[in-house]
Parts: sequence; structure tokens; C-alpha cells
Amino acid sequence: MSLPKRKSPKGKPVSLFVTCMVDMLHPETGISVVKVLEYLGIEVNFPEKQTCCGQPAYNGGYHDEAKEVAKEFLKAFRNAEVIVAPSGSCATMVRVDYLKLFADDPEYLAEAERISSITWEFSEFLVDGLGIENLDGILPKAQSFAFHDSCHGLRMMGIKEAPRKLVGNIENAEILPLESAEECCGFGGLFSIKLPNVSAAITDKKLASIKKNEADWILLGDVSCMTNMNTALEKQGEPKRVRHFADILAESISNSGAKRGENPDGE
Amino acid sequence: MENRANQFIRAADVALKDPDLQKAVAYGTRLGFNKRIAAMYEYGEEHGEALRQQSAQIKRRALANLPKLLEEAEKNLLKNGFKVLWAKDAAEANQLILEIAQKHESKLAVKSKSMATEEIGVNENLEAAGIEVVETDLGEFIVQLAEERPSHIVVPIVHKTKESIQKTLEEKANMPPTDDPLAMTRFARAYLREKFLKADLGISGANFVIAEAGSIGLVMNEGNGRFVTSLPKVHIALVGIEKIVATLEEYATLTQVLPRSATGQTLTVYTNLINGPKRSQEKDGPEEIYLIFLDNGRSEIYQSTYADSLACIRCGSCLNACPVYDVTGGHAYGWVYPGPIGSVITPLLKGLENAKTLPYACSLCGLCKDVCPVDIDLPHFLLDLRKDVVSTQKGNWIWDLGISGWSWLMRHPKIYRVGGRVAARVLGLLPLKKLPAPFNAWTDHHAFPVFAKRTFAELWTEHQGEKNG
Amino acid sequence: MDSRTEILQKLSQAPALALDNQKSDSVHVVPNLSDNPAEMLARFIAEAEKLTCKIHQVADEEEAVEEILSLIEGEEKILGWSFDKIGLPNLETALNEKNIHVDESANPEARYGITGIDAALAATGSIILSSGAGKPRMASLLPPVHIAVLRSKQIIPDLESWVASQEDLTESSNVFIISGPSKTADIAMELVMGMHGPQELHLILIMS
Repeated sequence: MSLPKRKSPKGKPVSLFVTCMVDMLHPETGISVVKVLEYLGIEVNFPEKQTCCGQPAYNGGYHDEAKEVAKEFLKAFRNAEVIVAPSGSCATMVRVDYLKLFADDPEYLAEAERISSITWEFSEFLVDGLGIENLDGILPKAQSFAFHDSCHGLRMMGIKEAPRKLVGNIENAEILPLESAEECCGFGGLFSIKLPNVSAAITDKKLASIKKNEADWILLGDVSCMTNMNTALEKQGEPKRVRHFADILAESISNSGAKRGENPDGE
Repeated sequence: MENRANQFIRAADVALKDPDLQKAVAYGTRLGFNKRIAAMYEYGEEHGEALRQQSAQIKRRALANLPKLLEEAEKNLLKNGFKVLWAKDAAEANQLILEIAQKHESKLAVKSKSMATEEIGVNENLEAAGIEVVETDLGEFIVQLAEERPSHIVVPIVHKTKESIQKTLEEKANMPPTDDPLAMTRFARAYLREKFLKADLGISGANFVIAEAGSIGLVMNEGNGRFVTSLPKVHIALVGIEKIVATLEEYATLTQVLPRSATGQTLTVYTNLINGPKRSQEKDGPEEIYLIFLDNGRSEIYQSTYADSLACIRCGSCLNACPVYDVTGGHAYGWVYPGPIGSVITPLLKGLENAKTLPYACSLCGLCKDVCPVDIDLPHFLLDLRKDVVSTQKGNWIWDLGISGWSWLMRHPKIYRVGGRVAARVLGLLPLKKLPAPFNAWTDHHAFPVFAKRTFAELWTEHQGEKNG
Repeated sequence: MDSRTEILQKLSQAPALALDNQKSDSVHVVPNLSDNPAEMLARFIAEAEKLTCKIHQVADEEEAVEEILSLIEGEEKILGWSFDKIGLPNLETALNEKNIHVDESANPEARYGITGIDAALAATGSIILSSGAGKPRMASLLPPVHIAVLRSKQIIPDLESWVASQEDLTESSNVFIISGPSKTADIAMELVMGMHGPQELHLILIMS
């Protein structure tokens, strides 16, 4: 299925799609995204009526309910020129699955296509959308990071190199490989509650690889995977080593002194 | 084969507690997964992807022209001396096979590996009529001795350890004790060779039916398939109607892509093109070949939005990639076809009500689509099947209620925000380490997540204040 | 209504299946293969050796016969294609001298089977055999050792080129593309050479 082409987002204000999981569990990650965007001179707005993209219902097979929630999303972002989300799975829902959800609904399909054509996951927005791979960030002390590639972002939107480039270019940051990087963490949304033992078995395999890894932190771009892995680690009495890369980026630019000030469209 | 797909969760639990199975399946699937990558991308990423797209298009073209190609195939098969029969369902297929066996007074049938024959339960049917049926693929032979089921489309006993295989051969076939795979193989070779030489009926499937040539293509490694299709005087090939390929040129591509994907081989040891029964001057070969086109639900799938799933060439790559199959093995899926493809076609062939958990036995990681050599969109088919389950099966009222409630909340942003603030404070106060059912599903394996004391909207407002202040 | 009609009718009545982005040019599974004889020979040998074939390169038919005799010395009965089909007319006399007889009855006790080939594929190190008069199938299947006689000029690039070159592939009742000796990995994924078919495949490669 071919997706609507995305135009360059340079010079346009960004409407933040914070995602319900970030909102409920890690709102500070949303602020991290805002800080990075404002550091780059981008005007950020937060459409207040947003709640959720509808993915949980869609994945559960409740397409009618998902559609009702999705319609509210379309309304909430009706004035958006660019949408950025700190989540590969939520961005995929809007960019890819809204087209399927509204395929037989001519009234909403055009708007769904418009929204799909302006939606970006955070790391691909910076690297592919704006052409920025280096934020001139610096960490107070040397740290090492290994990446987990969240399934939707990786397979549906091709997100793999972008977050590694962004973090790799931070001074004092080292990127180490994670041998199981592309393996599913087992969350699958409601899958973790419907088939909990199977889900947990998959998570355990992922955690075994993570526990062996020498990096200080395991980074990813999806709070859903992060919550799954961290709460499983916590249950096992292990340190919660998984963080969202947006938080590292925000940390790195808070240290670099003067604001970057460079206008993203190069003026 | 009896369908137990609705018992997936219970069967998976059994598998999860079996360390031998866990180790064997993980090892076998990891090996297969890595071999596929090496073979499909031997000449670069771009070439491998081009091969996948080419294979996908070959199968899609064949499916688009299916009725015409079936007629063309039949015409050419008949010209080549095959007898061509059509079975609308398992019962008819079994009846046809029994009739052939009885017509030729068959006493001993040897079988090569065929998932279609498992689907219709050929063995039980013939044995009930007093005909001995012997599986000759080593893995299927062991499955038959152990009175089990195969657990993988390509590697039937991937779930078994060497020790358990040894035990089965010693106890059920009187093999002299040995733990050496070579010795076990030689024993099976001698045991089954006797059967090959005595058999008067050979039963196989087919990997491809080539319409323009009137031929069937089989891929095999052990050589039993060659015996089954050459020694007995009657050969029956049972083939799903979707196995059609239009031309020999396209067959040449697919018969190479299939092993590269399935086992990492450039070609299987024996790539057989069967063009008909033996000619008059030949010393060996079957005198009659019956090809039975099997429908058994495939034409229904063809009429549905799931028609694309018929492109499957049964390579098993999706099984090797699937994180769920990796921990549950194949038996949990309850029927003939496990893994992602099984989760799609089992409900379609056996009825959604008889396999309603399978579409949910998936974390939606999407890897199955990435590895499929004919690019079937398995993840979206599973999502669509979930939609079908919700709309046609008597739902779990708890889930229906929960989703309705959630949906209502998500359509009322102000209440969602207020509710979020309240929930965060309240949940922070509750002892949430161990929750009662059904919420224990989460807390059995996870700590309860901490809900943020303030919503993003509040932090945003504060941030705006800081900027301007 | 008979099943054939019912099935075909259901298929014909189905909604048309979309065929998007169908390209016309196709790639060979093994790309960029040379058709230069020396390069094809090198590739064939390399691939066949990967499959554990034993390759005996000989200069001419005489050496080929000698090589075969050295392999099957001491045997009484072997299986085989007819001598004209193997393409070594002097083999018959040589075998008679050693009292080795080709058993026409597919004797399961025979330890060797000697055949010729129809073609060889450089891409995969495979040999192609077809069934027919004087070419019993069992010769390449029943005995534990299969000896195949081929000439380097019989080597062609790949399966696609072989299919394209054949006027009527269905001329014989059965065509087998053989890639090495039989094998299985069904026992805990451990590869064992020699399952139901031959355990060894010897290629007598006549360099002419």
C-alpha cells in the first residue's frame, strides 16, 4: 500500500501529538520533545482536544470504536500543518492505518489522507524531515546507549538509523549494539493482557538480552515498549534501564549553553 | 486432523512450561531464520527484495487467473496421461482416494510429506479401510510412530529433542539403542526401504502445478518423495487449487525461492518435475498418476478479502520469524498450519468460531510480512480477522464494555484530562502489586506502572508560563 | 453439479483480484552468471563441492572409465543407465572384463548406480536427469552411491536458462534436478548426509 507523500516540514509550526501513554505515564517525555523542537527555533503548539489515536481499540478488533476515536483525532488536528509524535506505533496508526480505517468512508478519507501526509515520528522528523542529525548536544559525563527498535516504527515506518544518529552525535555519548535490537518486546498492546503468559515469555527473552548488555541505558522511541520492559524488570527486582531517546536529547541540549538559534529552514 | 485451535491459550501454557520444547523450538527457528537471510540476500539486499517482489507477482498473477489456469492445467495434465479429479471438501477427497486404493487393491501406501493430506486426514481414512499407511519423511515417520502431530510446516519435529526421538524409535520401531543421529537415520532408512519396495500405492502432495506444461513440481531432500512417486504402481497427488503457477519460467523462479526461504538451500536435493506416468519403454515409474485438486474452503477464501493468503507457498519462514511461535511451538495452534499463516487460514478454513483466539495470538510485530517470500500482509489480515471476531462472535462482554467505556472517555477530552488527574492520585494510593483477576494478567508479570501525577497538558501550561515568565 | 463445475464457478464469480505494480522484467535467482565455459566450470565445481559431491576431473572417456572402475572395484552387481545413455560406450567392455554386471531389476543390494546426465547447472552445482528408455529412475536413487558421468560442455548457467532452452520439458515422464546426496536435518537440526536416497554423489567430469 503506498502512503501519501510527505512534503518538507521545514519552516512550519509543529502540532505535538503527545500520545496517550506519554500523557498518562511519562509526560516529561512530551516536554523533552517540546524542548528539542523549541531549541531548534520551531514553533510548537499542543491541540488540546487530543486524547488517543484509537490504536488500542483498532488492535483489539473494535474498528467501529476505533473509528469514532480517530474521528475526534482528525478534528483535534484539523488545523495542524505538521504533526510530530514521540511514538512509532502511534505515528503508524495515524500515517498507515487511518487510511485503512477510513478506506470506505469518503466523508473522512480525504482528511485522513491529509493528516497521514503530515504525520511524523519524532526522530524521522528531525533527521529526514528537517535534515538535522546533530543537535550540538553534550552530556555531563560519558554514557553508553544501546537501542531497541520498536516493531511498528521499524517495520511500518523504517525507523532505525534516525534515533541512533541523533544520540550518536551527542558529545560523550557512545552507541553500543544490542543483539536483540529488532526483536519484539512482547507487549503487543492488549496482547499482553489477553495472552499474558505468552507475552511475558517473549518479554523474558528480550530482557535476558538487555540484562547482558553493557550499555548504561537501553533507548527506544515508544513508551509502550518501554513501560512493558521497565515494569517487567521492576517486577524481577532489576533496575529499570529503558528510556526514551527524546529525554536524552533534551538532556544533551540543556547542557550545551547558548540556544542553537539556527532556523531550521536555513535562513 | 481434529481442530483444537480454540484451546490455544491452554495449549500454549503447557508449551511454555516445557523446557525441552522451549530449547528445541528456539534453536530450530533461529537456525531457519538466519539461513533464510543468508540465502535470500546472498546477492545483496536489493536483489533479495527484487526476488521477493517477483515471487509475489508470480503468485498474484496466478491467483488473478486461477479458474482459467486450473482449466489449462487440467487439459495439459490429461494430455500427459494424468487422471485429474476434483474434491470440493475433505470428505470427497478421502472418498476419491479410497476408491482409487480399492480399485487398485492397494494394501500398503507410502506417503511423502504433505500438509494437504494432514488437512483431510488421509491416513485415518485409509487405515479404517484396512490399508496400511506409512509416513516416509523422517520427521513425519517419527510423528506417526509417536502418535503425535507435526508442529512445523517444513520441519515436522522441530519441537523434539534428540533424546525423545531416540526413545520413540527404540520403543515404537525396535531400534537398537543409540543416540547417534547417523545411526538413527540409517535405521530409519532400512526400515522404510522395506516399505518402499513393498508398497503398491504412493501418496504425495505437490509444491507447484504448472499450467502450461501439465506437470507437477515437488521439492524434497531425503529422497523418500522420489520413491513414493516412482516405485508403487499407483501414485496419488493431492494438491490445493491455489498451488497453480502459469509457466515453467515462473516455476523455475519459485522452485528456487522456496528452498532459499524455507531452509537456506539454493535448491533442495531433489527438485522433481513429474510429467505423467511412466512411458511404455521405461523400467520404473507409476503406471497411473491421479491428481486430485482440493478445494476444502479455498474457493471461499478466494471470494473473500483474504484471497491474497492463497499466495502462500508453504515455506515456513513466518513460523521461524514469529516471536509467539518461538515460545509456544506449533502444537498450540491446534491444527495443521501453525504460526502466522496458520493463524490466518485456520479460522478461514475451519470457521472463525472454531479458531477465534488465533488472530489474537500475535504481538503485531510485523516480522512475518517482512520475511514472507510472496509478501502476504499477514499482520493486517490478523487485524481484519480480529474485527471479524468482534463483529460476529459472541464477545467477551467485559471487553466489549471496557472498549466502549474507553472509547467514550477518549471522545471527551476534558473528562479524560480530569479523569487522568484523579486516577493518577488515586492509583498512587492503592496497593497495586497484586491485582485480582482479570487485572492480574498484567501484575503477574509486571509491576503496576506509575501514573504521572500531572498530565502533559498541565506540564505544557507550566512550560508555556516558564517561557513567557 | 459436480465438484469441478462447482469449484470453477465459485472461482469465476469471485471479485477480481487487484494486480498492482506488475513489472515485466524479471531477475534470475542467481544474478550475473557468466556463460563463459571456464567460469561456469569453476562455479559448478565450487557449488557441487559445497553440497559434498565428490568430483573426479578426467581428461577423456578412457580416463573416465578407469576412474569408475577404481570406484566400483570388487562389485558384482550395480545399477545403471544403458551405456549409450551414459555416453561411455567403452564402459560396457570394461565392466564385462571385471565381471561387473548392470542389474536391470533394480536390485536393492546394489551399492552403486551409474548414470549420465541431461545437463548440469553452474549456479547451484546440480545435475539434471530425466527418466526414459534406458534411464531407470532407480539407478540414481536406490544404491547408496550414485556415480554420474558428465562432460564440462554440458554445464549451463542456471535453471532459468535450462527451462528456456528446452523445447519440450515434458518429453520424459520425470525430470529430477539433483543437488548433492540425499540428506536430512529432522533430528534436532543436525545435518546427516544420506537419508533415503544416495549417501554419496560422485561426479565423473570429463573435461572436453
